[in-house]
Amino acid sequence: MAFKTIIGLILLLMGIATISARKAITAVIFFAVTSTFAAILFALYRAPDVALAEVAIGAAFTSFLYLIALQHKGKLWVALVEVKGGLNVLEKWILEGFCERYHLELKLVPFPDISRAKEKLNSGEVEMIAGGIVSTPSIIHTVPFLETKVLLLTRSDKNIKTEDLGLSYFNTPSNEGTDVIAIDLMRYRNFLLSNLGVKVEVIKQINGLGYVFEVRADDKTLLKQLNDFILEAENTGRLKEGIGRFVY
Amino acid sequence: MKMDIGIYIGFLLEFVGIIGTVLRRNLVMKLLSLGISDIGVVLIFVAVGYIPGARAPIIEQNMDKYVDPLPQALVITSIVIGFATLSLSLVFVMYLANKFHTVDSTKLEKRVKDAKNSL
Amino acid sequence: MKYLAIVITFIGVGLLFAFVLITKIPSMNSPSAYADLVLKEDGSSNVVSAIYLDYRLYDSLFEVLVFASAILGVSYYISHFPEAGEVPPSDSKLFFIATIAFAPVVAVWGIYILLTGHLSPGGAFSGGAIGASGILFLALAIGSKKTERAFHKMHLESLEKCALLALASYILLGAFNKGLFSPLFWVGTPGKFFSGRGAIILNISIGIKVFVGGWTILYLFSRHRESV
Repeated sequence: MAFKTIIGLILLLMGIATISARKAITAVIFFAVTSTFAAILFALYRAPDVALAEVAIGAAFTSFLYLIALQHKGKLWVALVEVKGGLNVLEKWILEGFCERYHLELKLVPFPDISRAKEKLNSGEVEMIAGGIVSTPSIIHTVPFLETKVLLLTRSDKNIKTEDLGLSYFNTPSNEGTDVIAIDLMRYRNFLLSNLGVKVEVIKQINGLGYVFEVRADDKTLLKQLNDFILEAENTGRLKEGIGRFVY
Repeated sequence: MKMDIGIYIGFLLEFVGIIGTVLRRNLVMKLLSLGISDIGVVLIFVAVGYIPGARAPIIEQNMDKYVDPLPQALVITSIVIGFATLSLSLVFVMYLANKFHTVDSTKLEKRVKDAKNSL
Repeated sequence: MKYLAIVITFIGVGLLFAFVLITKIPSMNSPSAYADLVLKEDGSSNVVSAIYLDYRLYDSLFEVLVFASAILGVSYYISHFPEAGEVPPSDSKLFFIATIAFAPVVAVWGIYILLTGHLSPGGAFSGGAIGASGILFLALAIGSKKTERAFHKMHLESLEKCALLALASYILLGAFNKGLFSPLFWVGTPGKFFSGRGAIILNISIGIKVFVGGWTILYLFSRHRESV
């Protein structure tokens, strides 16, 4: 009688440990232990058939199934907005380091413009957007990993399309009636490099901004992990080394 | 009616399993909790048929006191069915993870709603 | 909200408990009467096996059908996921030797448990699962591709269909025979191997079904991968 009580209490404890385990893989191991103790208890209750079935199917076979299903790495789906120059390379490098730290598989989905990527982010097909996102207050973003600034220009050239830039937050109509568009530093530099001789007039510079990753609003854990990773890389100097290697 | 300790433990295990199913957000954890509550139900059935001092229901000579074999025969199929349904639901979880890139139930709810709205 | 869920669950489980508490379970008084009945009518030594293979055979039949439809569902839905290759043969020599030595032992043990289900604890369900675990050991040692090829050569899938057919025809014959699933002379001498009416046929057919089904599920899960 006492022996049954002890085994039963162990069973109860293991059940509680299973449901309160933080990682699924730990819970699977606890579940196998629970099944084994349950089989012992069934044998004590003179049910050898049930005990044998439980230990063969419940403990061994089910655990195999869970372990096979859980052995694969988790994935991090990232929409990468294409920016010419070294910025994409730097972002890929940061994300690869992050995925290595948290044992994730990096899945990069390239997008030509930001609006498509935002659509995918809202529908949940990707978990974050990388690629020249400027830290505006209208989005949920990580800490900046690279300083930048936003320039406001008059639209003297029709080649610059506003929807490509995705900075509608800064895009305020001016007094003179002409369109004023905002562009970040990296894209401005690329624009100047590819359109030599085109004259653009810089009205205003907004300083103190940075390039960030945009994440979903419901993904608090991913945001915290990313922030911790970027701050740690900044403190150890690895981020500076990467910026020196890829961007400048 | 005098109750065996196994019935109490079985009910508590079932309670723990249902709590885990309701409160945990990870779908894999939900399945594991369902498995715990499955063990609890089997334990109740086995303990109900138990008689103190009786033998296991394997017929031997000069022996006339056996535990009740009927509950054991009822639950032995449920263990195998539990495995089969578990594998099917694990496939469905993988299907959701394939489509929405998460197994968190609250996030899934939101993303399914967003995906419906964007259609 | 969290505490509300806990309280509601507690009340629900408490109601179930009260139901068990106030219900008088009738067969508690004379469970030993099963022994005489089973010896006279069925001939199995294992009373549990006699119940689920003779008196409640429809229960086992539909259990096997649920198992079969679950496998069907798994193999249909898992084909949506990208293939990720097979389980490779093991690199470690120690692991290889250990698994390849264990695999036949476990498989033969499963077959033994399956065949003597009507004499001792065990039977089709546990025997089939233990046999499939043995094959899993083999697959871990030599890789899943070779194992699957060997299975394909043995025509195991058609064997599974034959097992289901045998089970169905046995039950159909019994249904025409007023629920007596096999003739009385199949009862045999209790305690000997040939006893227990159709227990051997049923154990073999259900065991093959569980064995092939379990291996199929594990193989499909290892070949198609999706992170959860």
